[in-house]
Amino acid sequence: MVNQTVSITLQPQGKVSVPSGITLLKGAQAFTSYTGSMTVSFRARTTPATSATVTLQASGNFTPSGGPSLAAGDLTFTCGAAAYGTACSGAQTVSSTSQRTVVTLPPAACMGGGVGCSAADPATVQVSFQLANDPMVSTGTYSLPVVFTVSSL
Amino acid sequence: MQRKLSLFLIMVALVAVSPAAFGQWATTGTTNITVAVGPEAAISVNSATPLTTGTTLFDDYTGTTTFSYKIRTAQAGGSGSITAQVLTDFSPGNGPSVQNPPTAGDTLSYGCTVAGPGTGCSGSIAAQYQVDTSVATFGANARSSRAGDSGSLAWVLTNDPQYETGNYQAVVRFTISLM
Repeated sequence: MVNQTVSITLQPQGKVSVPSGITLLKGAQAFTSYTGSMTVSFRARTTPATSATVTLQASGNFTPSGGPSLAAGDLTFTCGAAAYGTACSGAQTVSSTSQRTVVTLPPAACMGGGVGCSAADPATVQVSFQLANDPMVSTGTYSLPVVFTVSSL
Repeated sequence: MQRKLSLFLIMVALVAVSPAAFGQWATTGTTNITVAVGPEAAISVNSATPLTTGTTLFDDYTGTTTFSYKIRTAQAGGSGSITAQVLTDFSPGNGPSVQNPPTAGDTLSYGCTVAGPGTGCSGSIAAQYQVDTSVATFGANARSSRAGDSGSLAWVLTNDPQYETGNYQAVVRFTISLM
């Protein structure tokens, strides 16, 4: 009979899953804002000393040119309650130069139940976008890639 | 053997479908936000326009209606307009009237001032009872400012001695439309 010790080192990890696209729609009233929402799913394991964040950042500006402007702060987002961690509070402007926090995860974050872990695996958070309806924007269809990242692991 | 092959194909199909349905898992994920910006138009008009006469006897009655508008017309072939229409004639009776003036030639007329992408009406326009008359026109790819642009109508009502003394009120409807 031989006893053998098996050890495993778990590294901090984080992953995110988002839909490939969403369409913003406006209400019936003229020049009301365009709105749309999406679910962000995430999994993370952090070290006892390190928290993590799920962030978003626009990759460039709306294309083609002549579309809505990020520089003017026309695109904002709000967060619903996160299934795990702390979701963003209030309206945040979407930027192409800096990341905006969507969810902050605590140190020793983990998924799948257990003390201190998220019961939900993956955890989710609802992100709702709002785009100002500026008359100066010409008619057309515009697109903007937004990158979600699990960072600070 | 055939049954095993079928199971294998089903599993392959599930694996192929899963990423599209739930998104890819990675340290980053990209969502494309798409918006279709269409033609729109809206107008806001001040609610009351008192007409007053000048210091000289039987000067015509004058007054100004101000309005603000937002508009975005289609880039290709789009156009728009602002019109005015006397929806309800002056009341009570025995005073001024657009539909049946007491004297031929009595008019309620206006001149236009329009800022922004619109072209205001030219000269003096006689308002008509339940018929649209032009206030401003817009061409393709016309876009007002973010806060909206403004305009005004300078009204002139004939001061006919035939009018009985009293207060009279008419309703003028403004319409902004896209074509």
